[in-house]
Amino acid sequence: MGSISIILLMACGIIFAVAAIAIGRKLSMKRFNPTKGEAYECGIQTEGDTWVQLHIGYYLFALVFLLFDVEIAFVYPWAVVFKEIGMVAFVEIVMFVLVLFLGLLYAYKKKALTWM
Amino acid sequence: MEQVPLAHMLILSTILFFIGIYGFFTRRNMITMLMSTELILNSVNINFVAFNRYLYPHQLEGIFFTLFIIAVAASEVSLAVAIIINIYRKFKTIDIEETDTMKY
Amino acid sequence: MAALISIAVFGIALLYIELTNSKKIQLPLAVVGLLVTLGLTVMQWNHPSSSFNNMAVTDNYSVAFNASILLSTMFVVLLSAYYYEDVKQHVAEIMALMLFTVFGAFLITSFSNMIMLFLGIETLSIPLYVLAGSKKFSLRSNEASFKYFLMGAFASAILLLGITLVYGASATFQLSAISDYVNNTKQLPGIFYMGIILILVGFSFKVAAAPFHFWTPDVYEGSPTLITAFMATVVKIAGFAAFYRLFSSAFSSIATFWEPLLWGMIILTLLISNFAALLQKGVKRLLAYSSISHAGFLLLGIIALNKLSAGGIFYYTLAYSLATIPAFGVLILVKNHRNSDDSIDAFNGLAKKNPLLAIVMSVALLSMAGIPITAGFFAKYYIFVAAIDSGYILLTIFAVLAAVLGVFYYFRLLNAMFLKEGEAEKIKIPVVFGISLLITTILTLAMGVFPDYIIKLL
Repeated sequence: MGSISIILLMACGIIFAVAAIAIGRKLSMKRFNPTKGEAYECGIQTEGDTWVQLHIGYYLFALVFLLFDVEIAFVYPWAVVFKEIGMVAFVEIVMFVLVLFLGLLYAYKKKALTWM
Repeated sequence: MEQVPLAHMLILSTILFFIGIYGFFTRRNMITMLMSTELILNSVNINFVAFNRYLYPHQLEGIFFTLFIIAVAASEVSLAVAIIINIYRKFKTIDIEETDTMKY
Repeated sequence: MAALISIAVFGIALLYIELTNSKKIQLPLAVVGLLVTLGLTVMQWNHPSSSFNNMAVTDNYSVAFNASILLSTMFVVLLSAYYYEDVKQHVAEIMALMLFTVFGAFLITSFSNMIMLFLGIETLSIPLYVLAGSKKFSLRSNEASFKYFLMGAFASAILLLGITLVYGASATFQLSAISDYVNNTKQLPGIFYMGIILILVGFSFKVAAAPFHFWTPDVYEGSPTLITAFMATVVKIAGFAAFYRLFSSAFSSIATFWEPLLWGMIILTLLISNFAALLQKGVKRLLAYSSISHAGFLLLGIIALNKLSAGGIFYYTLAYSLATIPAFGVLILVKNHRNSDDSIDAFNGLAKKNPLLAIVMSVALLSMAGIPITAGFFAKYYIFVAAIDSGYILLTIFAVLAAVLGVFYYFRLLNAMFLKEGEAEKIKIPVVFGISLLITTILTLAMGVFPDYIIKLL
């Protein structure tokens, strides 16, 4: 029962979308001028090649961010059971964060967090 | 609501696993090879969570293993990307076939 | 657990020492860290304990392996004083990474839960990927690092899939519970067997046993020589300790299933590594293949699976480390004086001008080949006795033949050192370097003369 309505909905959607595009193509007039060919009708023209190389410092930031971002995964389960375990859990999470902090401090001292 | 059967989960994870293996052995771009290993790890994650949820819902061990895998995979990725950046600076390529200074 | 904390704290301390840029205290701090950890480790002898909610167990088995890991690391760190003499930066970081590797090694020698096994293997491997690429401006080092990473990540993924399948069947990660499950179930499901195969494959990647050994020669050749020595010793000791621990506790009751697979792997490893080693021209590559062949002999101890094999594996890994470190040490010196030429010809006529180096190298090579009065002879002897005791007579005969074949390529190097003429000049041996080479040589000989003290430990 459920799947039939889904299939019907999908079919309607596809037919509607295809029909709209096809009718639009058929009926519209086609006139070109250089302004229409531009990437943006308003705004600023792009300067130079779009495939510019990103600064290497960007990757460094991304890597450091990735490392610390994922550690949050461990904090969620801790937050769930925190009330039941109490003080021990608090001490443990403080140590966990302390170790992470040492890592961050190291990255900072190594000038991984300054834009060069 | 009907539940998706366990077999479907396992089939999904097996498909992911073999896509990963296939990519690992056929692709020559270092980033793509890295992505393939991530696919394999994610298929393992699906396996863990599915087994845990369907077969042994009273425990959480499998889900915690998944957390560890995610964290370790993230550190592996950041390390690998660092190595790849370094290789790109030296070789000016990230094609594995061209980094062959050592041969049997 | 105290040992684990101590090694981690000293590792982090070394990282911060790097920031102060004072080269003088790096080496002493690393050595002190290793000594303190060694003390804490040895104190746990005969005091079995468990930590992390029973996920890790410290028993005599893990203490023995941990101590030998610390000993090998100590020698490598001592050699690093000369190896990194001219390097201004990142030396303390390299040592810190070594300590982190040792941390991972500790976890996998004493795990009793699959989560610990996985975490340990990753903590062991991730610093090693960095170490392999620690010669930042060398193409080969970078290439080795990436190859090692790819193979390592792939192997961990395979191992993990194996662990999931075992979990799916047995509902637990605890080794003792898996063992109970195997004993109490009449008809084991297919995924359990599949899981064991995948775990076996993952482990053979890590310990470099054929047919999953192909990354080893490249990685060993490309990495900085000192790091190769470190990888060849510490990873092998820890890897085999974990391998034996897992298969002797969790999967021992269904040994009839995985022993034939291991049987085939041993034959293949011994064949491929010994024949490939015969063809090598570079000494570093030759030592890489010799390390693969040692993996083959060590697997013999795992397949035996009786009360002799734990001691046999321990003795073998210790003897192998004490032979490998001086061999690579001499290679470092010779390579430095021959403009990075590490072919066998570079050793021509070494004995005439540098008798000490030649003697150290020959003792190491003889020990690897398994010639009596060196430790290597008894290492092979105990492993063979264990295998024969379990009835693997054909396999043992094959292994003995492989050992004889191995003698050939070790003697090619000895021949070059003692009989060939070469335009060798005198090589100046730095003090710390020379002393650590001598100590390892003396220990090798001592272990060969009094093998009982070591073998009776386990």
